[in-house]
Amino acid sequence: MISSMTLKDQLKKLIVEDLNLEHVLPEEIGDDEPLFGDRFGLDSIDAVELVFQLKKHFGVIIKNQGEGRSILQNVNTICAFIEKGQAA
Amino acid sequence: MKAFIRGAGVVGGFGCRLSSLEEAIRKRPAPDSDPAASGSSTEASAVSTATARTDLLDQLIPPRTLRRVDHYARMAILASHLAREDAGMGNGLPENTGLIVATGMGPTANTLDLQAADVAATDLALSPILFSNSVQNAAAAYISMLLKIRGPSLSINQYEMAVPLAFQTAIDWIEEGRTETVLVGSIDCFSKALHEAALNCRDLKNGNGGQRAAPVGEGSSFFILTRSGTQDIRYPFVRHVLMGGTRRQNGAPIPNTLILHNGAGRNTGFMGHDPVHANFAHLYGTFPTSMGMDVAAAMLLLRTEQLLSISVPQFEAGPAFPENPLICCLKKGETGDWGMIVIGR
Repeated sequence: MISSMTLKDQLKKLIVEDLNLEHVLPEEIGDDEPLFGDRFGLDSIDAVELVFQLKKHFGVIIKNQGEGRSILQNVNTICAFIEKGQAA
Repeated sequence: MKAFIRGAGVVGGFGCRLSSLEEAIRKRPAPDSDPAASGSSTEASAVSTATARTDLLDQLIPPRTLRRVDHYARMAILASHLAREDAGMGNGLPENTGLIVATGMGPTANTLDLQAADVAATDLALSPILFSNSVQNAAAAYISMLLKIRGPSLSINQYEMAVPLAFQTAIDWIEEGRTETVLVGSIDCFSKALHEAALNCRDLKNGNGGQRAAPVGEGSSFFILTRSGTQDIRYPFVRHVLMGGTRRQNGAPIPNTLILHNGAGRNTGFMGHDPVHANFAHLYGTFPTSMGMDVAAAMLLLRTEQLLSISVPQFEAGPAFPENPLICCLKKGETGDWGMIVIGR
């Protein structure tokens, strides 16, 4: 079982590498920091990419836009969703 | 109609900018120089490679803007920016500038990666970023957006004749008055498919007829063409673009000067002529649209006569150098098709 801390690190690494955030280091992303907005410059295409990468790497599926909006808020909300999905 | 070359930008295994290509020609003019110097040798294969770096692009455009752009499009964006810079149009291209991007294989590396996707899993099977970079006109779209090109735009995808077709189309646009300025260029990216094609290509196999094989290359070259006679005369003109094949021999006039070609063996003679020829594939490699690099090399050779005598010494021993020399960039296809871009000053 992957610990919560490791999962967060994994997720931050995934966000930086798969969304090509060359100007950001994984450790610079705060657990509660909003992912979408000016700080990281993520947009709707990144949201779709993130949905794809979460399925690919963690096997969890975000079913619709409404669900995605609440899940993709920050690292903590995504980790909670992954842990819930993997426990089910 | 002839078209004036206002500026050019190149990105390849030799580096970036025309100055790097000129330096490479000066340092290693002979095609039989050591090919290892032009790129890394590919392990467990019969071909060597000449790959391009695009680090310079991060100094021209904020990396954040380019974070979704892959290597294929980065090469094209960098070459097009360098062409604009070389043309002295750093503040912006003229209104209604047209754009033509030629490619032989397109972003094949991305397309191949997508083939592994499980299409049955519907939209969640595909990475949107990878997908957007896999379409043939991705490079043209990025260039249009970044250079604010609002004129006609076209991507040409033809394995062997994409470059002459692109130049012919650019000249047609200018001649028809559709636009006064065209940014025309080409791009191909090293990929598994290109590597496989190289392994099966007799021109690229080491030891072919005792000739040293050219590396498999990648790169991009862009040119800003304008109606001739409207600008300064820093560079030569595109005099003609000619295309033909086994089914339509339209009598290509072979100028009594020099032929630049890419590839070995099958390109040395042409339509019964045996003109002086040169090959710079050892500098930038061989790839479907490497003819664009030949055009850039021809520009440099005509701009600096000294470079011509350094790089093609047999030319001096042959026919007298005419007052208005022409250089033909020749591409011969596997099936007998040929394309020729004639550069003069």
